[in-house]
Amino acid sequence: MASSTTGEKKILTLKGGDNEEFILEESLVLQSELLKNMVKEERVSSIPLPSIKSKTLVKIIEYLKKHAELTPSNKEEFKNFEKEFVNVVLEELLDITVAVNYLKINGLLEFCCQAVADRIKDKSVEAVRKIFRIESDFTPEEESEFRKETPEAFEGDLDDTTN
Amino acid sequence: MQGRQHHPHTATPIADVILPKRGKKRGSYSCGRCGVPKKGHVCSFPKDLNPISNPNPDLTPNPSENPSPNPESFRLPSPLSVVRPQSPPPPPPPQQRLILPQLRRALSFDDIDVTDSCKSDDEEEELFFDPDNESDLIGSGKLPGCCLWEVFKRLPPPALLAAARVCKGWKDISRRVWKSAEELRLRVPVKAQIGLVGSVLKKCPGLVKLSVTMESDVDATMLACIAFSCPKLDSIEIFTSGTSVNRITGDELGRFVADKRCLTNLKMEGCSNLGGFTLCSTSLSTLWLSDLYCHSKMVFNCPNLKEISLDFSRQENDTTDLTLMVEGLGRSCPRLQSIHIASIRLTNAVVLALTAANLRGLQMLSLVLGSEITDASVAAIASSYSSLELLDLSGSSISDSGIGMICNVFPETLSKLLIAVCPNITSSKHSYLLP
Repeated sequence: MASSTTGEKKILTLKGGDNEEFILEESLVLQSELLKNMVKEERVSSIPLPSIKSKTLVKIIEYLKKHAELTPSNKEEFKNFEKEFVNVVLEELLDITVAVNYLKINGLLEFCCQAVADRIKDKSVEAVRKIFRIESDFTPEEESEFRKETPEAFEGDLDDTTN
Repeated sequence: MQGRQHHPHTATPIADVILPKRGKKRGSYSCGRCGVPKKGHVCSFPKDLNPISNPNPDLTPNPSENPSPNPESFRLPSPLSVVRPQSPPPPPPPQQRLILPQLRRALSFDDIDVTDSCKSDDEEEELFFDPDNESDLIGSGKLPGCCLWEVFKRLPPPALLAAARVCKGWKDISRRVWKSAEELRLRVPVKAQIGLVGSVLKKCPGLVKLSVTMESDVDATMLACIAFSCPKLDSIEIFTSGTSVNRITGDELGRFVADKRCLTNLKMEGCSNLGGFTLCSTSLSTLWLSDLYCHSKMVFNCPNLKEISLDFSRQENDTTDLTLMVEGLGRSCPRLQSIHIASIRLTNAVVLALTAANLRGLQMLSLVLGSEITDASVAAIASSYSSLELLDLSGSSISDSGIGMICNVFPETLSKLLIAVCPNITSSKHSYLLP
């Protein structure tokens, strides 16, 4: 938990939202701009991240590890890993995206946002609302106006909301 | 002016109403979008040039959306762009009607966002949206504003149009994404026609590069629409596909080119209806026209033109006078570095006219499909343009002795020689061609 040194490597503890603790090498978290600043400036050894679910944190740490191992020779492998990484239910993908945005892991953020964009680009407006649990705040007049002008925007698979 | 602030249909100039208040509230000189101190800072977040509040459902953009004639007065906010190769299947909705300004009042920053006009850049800086603040926007879904921004940036245009219909928060972010776009590739489906182009273009006044692939017919209305909506356009490409017809005439194109003072790159397919044309531009450096057919006059008054590609339709009865055209080209475009002409009516006379022009900077010369081009042309090219890097005489009637000439004259400079489908060349000779 507290900062300890095994050989040259510094160890850091991340506390997820449900108080689960993750102990990892400090060098790994430096990929996150947020954590990097915390580590460098405040010399903390334990960082609470109450807004991030443990499940999400596990995923992100998994990514950090893979990314740290990235070399020119295993690029292909890493790409496949990235693909698999975002191949989760949309709910989880959004959690990850929000967390990555918070942690400021730039490369991964771009990748996640692309993944979200790919998920929603072919969906109908209704489906997107359902996925994001958004209530339309347009007036019925506006809605019917949209519908009149761009009927195709309201077509699409309405039940395709799980992934 | 104060009174007008509450009038939903009226644009309120920023300077009159907002600024004094705003300055006090803020009390700091940090960028309104990212929080970094403003001095010397160029924000990477988009700036909001003006909100959409055009109550007119027609295609004419709100005058205030058409930024001031001085292009300097509006700097590009960021390299963000809506760049999507090939819009995927769902055809973009046709003309999208813009909502009235009062409908956006639910947004948290509506008090500063009632304005339509942009008086100056510095004033605007203060008013822009801070994506991080969007996170508390009810109705934006799970993602905070800055994430949505990143997501929207990656959506193809039709999906971005659809996203605007999800809720007001999304609509607003999508509007800002459009506004920050510098590059747009748009496929215009058969049904959508000009309405789509018009409604999309007026959302993005900052466009620098535009590429439209028309599946529907295209005429001068679209050119006018582009000219009107995109004052900063540097590059335009109009591609036709399938059965779409390009009805743009030479006069219309000439006017467009003359008016667009910063246009450097023009590519257009389906030019068979151009007829006679005169293109006058000091900015144009790359010009590609294809499907040319029967032009009574082709005048290129473009002193800075570096690259020209003219692709004529393969019809025997094409009446274009290529010799005259090439003579003019040599006179008025002295800086040409690359010339490509594809026409079955290319002859030795055309090549002689071109070599007489003595273009000093010419590096690439491609004259293809001219079955009447013979070794006489090769001799002329070799004597006038001995520092060519690329020579393409595919489809010509040059013979082995022409090849020999080329080998003697261009031993060092020429790195590419293309001579596909030249029936008079025996294959055995190819072996000693070039190093």
